Amino acid sequence: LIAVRALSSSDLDRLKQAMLLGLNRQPLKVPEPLLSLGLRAPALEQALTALALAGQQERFERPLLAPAADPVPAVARRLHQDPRPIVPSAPQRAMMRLANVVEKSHVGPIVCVAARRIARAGFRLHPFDLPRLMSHLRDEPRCLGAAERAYLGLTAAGAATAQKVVDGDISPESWTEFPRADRLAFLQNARRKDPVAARALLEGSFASEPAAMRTDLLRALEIGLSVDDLPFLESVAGDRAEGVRDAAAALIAAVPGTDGFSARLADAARCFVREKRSGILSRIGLGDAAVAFKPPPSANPAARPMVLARLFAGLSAADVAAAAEITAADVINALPPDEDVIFAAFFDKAVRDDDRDTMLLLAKARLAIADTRPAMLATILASLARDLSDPVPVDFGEALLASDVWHSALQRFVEGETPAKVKDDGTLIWTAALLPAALAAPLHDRLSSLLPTTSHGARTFIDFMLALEASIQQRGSP
Amino acid sequence: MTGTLTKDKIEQLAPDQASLAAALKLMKPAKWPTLAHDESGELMWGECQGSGAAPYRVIVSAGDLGYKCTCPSRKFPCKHVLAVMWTHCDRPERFERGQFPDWVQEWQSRRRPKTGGLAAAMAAAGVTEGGQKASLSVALAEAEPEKPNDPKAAARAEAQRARLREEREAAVLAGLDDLDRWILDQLNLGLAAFAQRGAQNIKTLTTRLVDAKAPGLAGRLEALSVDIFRTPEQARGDLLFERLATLVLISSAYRNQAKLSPSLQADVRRVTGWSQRRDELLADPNAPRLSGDWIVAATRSEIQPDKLRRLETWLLHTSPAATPNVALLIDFVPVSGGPSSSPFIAGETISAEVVFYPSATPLRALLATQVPTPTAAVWPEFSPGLGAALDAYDLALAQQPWIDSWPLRAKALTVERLSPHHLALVDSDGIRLPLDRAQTDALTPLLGLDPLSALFVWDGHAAMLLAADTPIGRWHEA
Repeated sequence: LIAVRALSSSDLDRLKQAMLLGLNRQPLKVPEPLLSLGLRAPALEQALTALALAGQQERFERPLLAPAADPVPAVARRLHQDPRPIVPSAPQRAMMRLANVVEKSHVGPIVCVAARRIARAGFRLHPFDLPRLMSHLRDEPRCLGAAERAYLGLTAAGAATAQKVVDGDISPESWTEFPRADRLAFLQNARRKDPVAARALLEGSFASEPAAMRTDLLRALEIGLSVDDLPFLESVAGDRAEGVRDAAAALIAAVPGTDGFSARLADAARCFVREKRSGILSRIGLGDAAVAFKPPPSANPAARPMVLARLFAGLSAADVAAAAEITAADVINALPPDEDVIFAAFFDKAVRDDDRDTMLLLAKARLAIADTRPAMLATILASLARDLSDPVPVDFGEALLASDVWHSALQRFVEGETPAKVKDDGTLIWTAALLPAALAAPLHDRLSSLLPTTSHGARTFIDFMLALEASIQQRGSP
Repeated sequence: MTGTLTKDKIEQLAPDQASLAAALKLMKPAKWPTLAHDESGELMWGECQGSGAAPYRVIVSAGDLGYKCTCPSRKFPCKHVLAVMWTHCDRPERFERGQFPDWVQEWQSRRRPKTGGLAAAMAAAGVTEGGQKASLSVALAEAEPEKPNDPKAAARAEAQRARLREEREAAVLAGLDDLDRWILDQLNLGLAAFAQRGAQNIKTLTTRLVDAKAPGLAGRLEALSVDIFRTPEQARGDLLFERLATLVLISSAYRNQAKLSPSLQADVRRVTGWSQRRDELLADPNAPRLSGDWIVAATRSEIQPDKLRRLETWLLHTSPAATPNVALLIDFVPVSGGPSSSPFIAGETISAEVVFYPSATPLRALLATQVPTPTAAVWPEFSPGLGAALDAYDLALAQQPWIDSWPLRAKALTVERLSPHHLALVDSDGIRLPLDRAQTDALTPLLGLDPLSALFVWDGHAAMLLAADTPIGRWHEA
């Protein structure tokens, strides 16, 4: 050890210099310390031995790093100062298992659902898991608390942006500097509070936004949409980006109070008619009048979905019900389960209005479609789980588990003979993601008849639910 | 008989979910020209048509869950074995009753009797009573069939092995001559222009070293050809200087083995490419052994240039006085086998007897026995500061001059940010070790946590954190 450190730094530098330039150009001059070690071999071996010894000496050198200017940024400390307790290890481990075992196409939204449950329970994600999970969570403001924002800030490109993201105090002055998801959420909230001021905010930065962002921000105006927005909407209806033009046109058509909107709402309401039942009960005044769906006649059946999409765009089930003088439930229950376009329009509107009751009503009515189109079940459950902030109520969950359509799906997995047929298409994992912890046990029982590979994701979500529930119980109230 | 094999047991035996899914795909009758079992249904066998001309031959003993398959998979059991088990569980009628073919009879006669019944068999297959998977090392060692007990055949085999060994020694020495000549050529031409001379410059010699049966050296050269282009231009000279110096040291040490200690002889032979059979090592009474509780500090997976996935499992003994108290298990699986990971979970604790490969600096090891321990082990006490850790590195480098990197331990550390994409481990004396840039994202949450007690690998240039005990829990590389 002492011997190989015999070379001075200048000897070492000279030796390296010769070898870098090439011994053909700069012949090797063996440094004295190596000669004194007995390195008097023929020239060929001398070069190799000198390389070995000098190279080995260099391996003992220790790096000299100067102190960093900002070794622990303030943002990093914020990451650990979030007052919420870190999620206990049992649900934390189950959450990370979920991130590993769930099918790639579902993993992002499933992780978001799990993160929302952790946040709702009053916990925060473990800081060590953030690097792994953040790619799924960064666009989901409902999952971002102080610690998560601090991590985003630590990994943000610019220091100024980082600080703003961490602070989370997005304001009319700073909102343009925040990530997309934050900006959208900010504008939507602003519209709910003061639609005119929010629109003015958007108008101020609209021209300098990229096309995709312009489209997304413009759609936020759907909240609190009124005739006051018409001049701005008409000014952007000729935007250079097609997406912006389409969004503006859709919004113009959805502005309440305009003649066009009123006519459209009336047309939509006319699709729901109360039909008197015939028969003895009706004759003695006891028969209920049922609401039936009668869409406007269309000469071109192929154009029918487009016509209905235009007619119902931006209308809520409650708007249509009020215009038809019936209830929202009447409207939804009257819809044939295969009216995809109208269901989608109502569901989108309910999500934007955060109208949980309507979302559940729509989902319940929609489940019947899965009898004839099995692939729809997973889609319906996924959209419900993604858009609801909380698990479904127990009675909804029980009805789902007891429904024929869910049993049929289960049976298909049991009877499947090919890998594709026994693979969970999302039905099981999204069912687990929707249900409250109180229904974990019944779901687990129903999964017992399936192959382990089929139910692995759903069972892992159940484990997560139960572990989180136990942690909540242990800690007291959430 | 089918009562012995259940889907639960098969799932426990499977090395991962991907293997089960792959087995399911193999359950089509067309894949199995032969599928049969004996009268009792205890022994089943089949031939599976794979991509090659000859079908893979699979034998499964349901009684003790012994198995054998001729496919090259390094998963144990492979998908073919799982498919036979699963088919027997689900579709026993697809098995014909028949006499053993020769290859089944041969396997039967060579099998070592299993005395421990099902539990022992599951342990041999890598599954403990608790469902915990053992290292592939254990599985391989246990699955190794015993040699036929024929003295003449044994003598012939020994003579054959001795002849092959002599031939290989001569080939390796010739390969080392070529290596020395090549390094000298590089020195004469100049290391500064090494990269410009292109990949072919290394490729030719790599091929020559593989032919010379020195795959270890060929692997080092292949790694150099990759690393040189990953290294900033200004640092390439130093990288070459050190790596080529190490190759010269190995070459010189191999030629002068007689002057080395037995343990260093073993090191130089292993680094050149000689391997030691797992069963021989496990049976070697002189091999260093250490029992006790081990923390699975880290699991790593890396794809090598030879298309093998290298799975590393780093174990840390819970007693600080134990020597050596870090062990590295290495398994190789073909990349073509799909995603694969260490059979251990980083952070778990196992109670195990570890057998180290003979070495001047024992590190690489096999598991002789292991059982999971239900409770998490206490983190061992380390010496404070990085100075003592670096002294340990110097000592290891002096004892075995060609180590690539060495595990170090230290407490009272912090993580600091050198630049937005570069972190460092720092102690209270101001010694800073740069952390591997590939770990920056994962280690960012450790910023601001103080103090850390860390296990890391140091290669003289960068530290790779394996595990750390922190105020908010343990961090593990996985």
